[in-house]
Amino acid sequence: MHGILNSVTRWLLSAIALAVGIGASSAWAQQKVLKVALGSMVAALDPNARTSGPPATIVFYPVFDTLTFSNDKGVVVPSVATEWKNTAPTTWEFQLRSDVRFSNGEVLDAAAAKFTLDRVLNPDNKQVVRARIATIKSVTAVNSTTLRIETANPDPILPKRLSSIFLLPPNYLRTAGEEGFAAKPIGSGPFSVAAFTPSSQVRLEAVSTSWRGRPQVDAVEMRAIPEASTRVATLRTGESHIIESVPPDLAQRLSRERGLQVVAETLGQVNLILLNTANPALNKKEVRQALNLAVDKAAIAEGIMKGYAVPTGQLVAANGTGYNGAIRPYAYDPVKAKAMLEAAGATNLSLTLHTTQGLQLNDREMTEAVAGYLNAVGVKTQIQVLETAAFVQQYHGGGMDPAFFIGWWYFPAMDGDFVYAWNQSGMKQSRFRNPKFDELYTASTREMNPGKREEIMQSMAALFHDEAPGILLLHPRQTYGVRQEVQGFVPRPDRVIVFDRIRLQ
Amino acid sequence: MTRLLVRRALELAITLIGIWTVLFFVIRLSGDPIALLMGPNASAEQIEAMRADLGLDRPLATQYLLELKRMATLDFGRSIRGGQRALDLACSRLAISLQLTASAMLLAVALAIPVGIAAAAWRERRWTRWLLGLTFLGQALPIFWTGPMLILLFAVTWQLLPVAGWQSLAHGVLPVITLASVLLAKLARMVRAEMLEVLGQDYIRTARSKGLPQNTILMVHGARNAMIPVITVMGTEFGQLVGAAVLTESIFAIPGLGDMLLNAALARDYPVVQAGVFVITLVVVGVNAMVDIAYTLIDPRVRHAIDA
Repeated sequence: MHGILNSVTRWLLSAIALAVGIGASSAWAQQKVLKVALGSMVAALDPNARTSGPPATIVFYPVFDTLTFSNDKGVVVPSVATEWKNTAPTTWEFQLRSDVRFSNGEVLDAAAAKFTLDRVLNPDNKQVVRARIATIKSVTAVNSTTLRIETANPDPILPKRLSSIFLLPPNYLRTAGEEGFAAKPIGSGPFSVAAFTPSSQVRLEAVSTSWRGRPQVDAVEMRAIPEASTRVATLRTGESHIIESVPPDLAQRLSRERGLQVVAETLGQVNLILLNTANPALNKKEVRQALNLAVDKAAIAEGIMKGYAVPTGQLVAANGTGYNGAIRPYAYDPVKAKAMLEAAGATNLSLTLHTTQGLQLNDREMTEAVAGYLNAVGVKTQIQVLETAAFVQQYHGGGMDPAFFIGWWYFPAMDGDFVYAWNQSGMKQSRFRNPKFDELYTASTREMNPGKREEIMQSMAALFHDEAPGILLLHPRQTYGVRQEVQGFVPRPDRVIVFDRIRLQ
Repeated sequence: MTRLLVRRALELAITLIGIWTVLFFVIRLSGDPIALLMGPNASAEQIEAMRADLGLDRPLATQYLLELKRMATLDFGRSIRGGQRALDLACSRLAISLQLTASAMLLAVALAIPVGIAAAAWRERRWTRWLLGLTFLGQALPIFWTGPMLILLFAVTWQLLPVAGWQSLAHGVLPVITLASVLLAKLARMVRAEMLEVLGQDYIRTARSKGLPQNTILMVHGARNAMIPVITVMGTEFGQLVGAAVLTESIFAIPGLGDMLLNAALARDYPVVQAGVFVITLVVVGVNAMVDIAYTLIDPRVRHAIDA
């Protein structure tokens, strides 16, 4: 009841605030405030605890530092850690910067990094990002700028994994407590959180204490505008400077408007119709290859995604480790597809394709298009649309036989490991049973030589393409609408927005 | 009067527990929040561990009894997504939603009464029919069309008003109009029908024969009596308006209770959905109770009927 009384008071206060709102907004006009509209917003501000992936990465990278980072091209680069090396296959030593401070003055040294990693690794703390670094066995602060990490087995992508872990101030966290920290988080990045409404909006203000330098704008306001047409409207009126996810069918028209442009970048993500290779109807490789040949991926990329997608024949795009440049998408050849189906004795094939609606951009539309192409070669195809929660549950539970639409992503690490892992025979989520693939995958997780590891991953890509445990469709391109007063905005394959470099004119 | 209040309070408690119970089971049968939270890119073991941590692996009946006990102390637990106290989240979002729905209700009533009275008093004239028809348009068009169209015209094309948010009075104009349009036609028709009935009563003829001016007859003798059923309708329609507000808040990106509830329901954030629906139920039932009480105060016939 106290809360309700409280909110009545707040109501009265905000009514007054509303009345003076217009006056107050003109006072803010002196400041350079970058306004960003996203499709959704984080529910809490403890960066490692409850969320991973966008929008969390968009909100947290400006506020917190990570040991490593990915550049615009998806290559792992130094951040708080300036260099790293293996002293043994399972031992890594990271050299840290000595000039990193949290915005409350606390020092970010090796001990603080150890504190953060230990906090994430302790299962009692229920940190969602734990899986990303579960290969770590122990962490030692050798001295203030040297961090030693032992892994259980050789882990070639540990530096990439660490780009997902946001570094936290130990002393502040101990005194403020979990709840206090989540209410008023403190990081070492060039912005600090000034205001936050869970799942709705956040205001970040520039600080000058960060080693990354003072940002070019005074503040960044991000808010969730789930409705795409509303998001676009805010860009056209100038209420937003940058908007995420312009619907492809609006993108062309929008980019012709004066003062606006639409930019895009291929995401570290793949969309495919996963096929259950254990299902008797689909256990022949030739049948699965025929289904790939029956679908015109280029037409889907053009017609449904309006060109904001790259047709593919593998799981990783050119922006990720494990990409095999020799693999082309399956050609569109319905005649050959039909012949192959006949040769394999699959003339009476009937499939149900499961899909979500709106979990991925155009998921249902793409699945419908695939169904159309399959029907055209004589495969009786139906669609079943599942609500997101049901879909995720079935996916983890091994359901949705024999086929479903899925989007897998491998950002922020930009490494094929994060998509290949789902296709091991042992995984409940996997619909692929192939001992050769399992063998290659295990080898790739232990191979410490980057060149050799890449070769193994490229053979995995070739094997996956040939065995075709899925109808490989495309890598979507993430779109942004940007106003001309914004300078220095670079779209990235991991959907992170680097606010450090953005200027407002 | 006391008996009425006690009965109302009892009804309120039963309604709240009933709705909470139905919701408890329906939302749990509809999907798993942990799988959603961790997404398709998390391992099954992790998901199981998280479920156990939050007590979601226990039998449904056990969970129900435990939560029922906690609810008695107004403890709805914490948000699965964000970790905040669920009731605090709901209360912090309540003010904005009340501002939105109350403003929309006021606007709808302020427009419906003159339109309804005019439509009754000059029912043969063509302009009143046009006016009434115009209000029907609001009811016929869905919010997810009206909202974006208003944005396109008033915010994008003419640049008179902001598109989205709830930062100033100007931000409220389009969402309030959008939401009010749902209710306007129903209320205007109601006012018109009631007015026509009242204007046919004997005491109106008496008033006319006394030689009272037309305006006095319409406003004092007619409208006042026609208002009583309209107030009742306002109470029952308030619930519908709260439902429509969910969509309105989503279109205009207003951080209200509806927006929170939509996000929480999609994420199967059980505690937040339950706390949010609890607060909304409390408000809707409370408003209806207030309407009933106001009704007895306005109309002596009702009061006597209860006391008898």
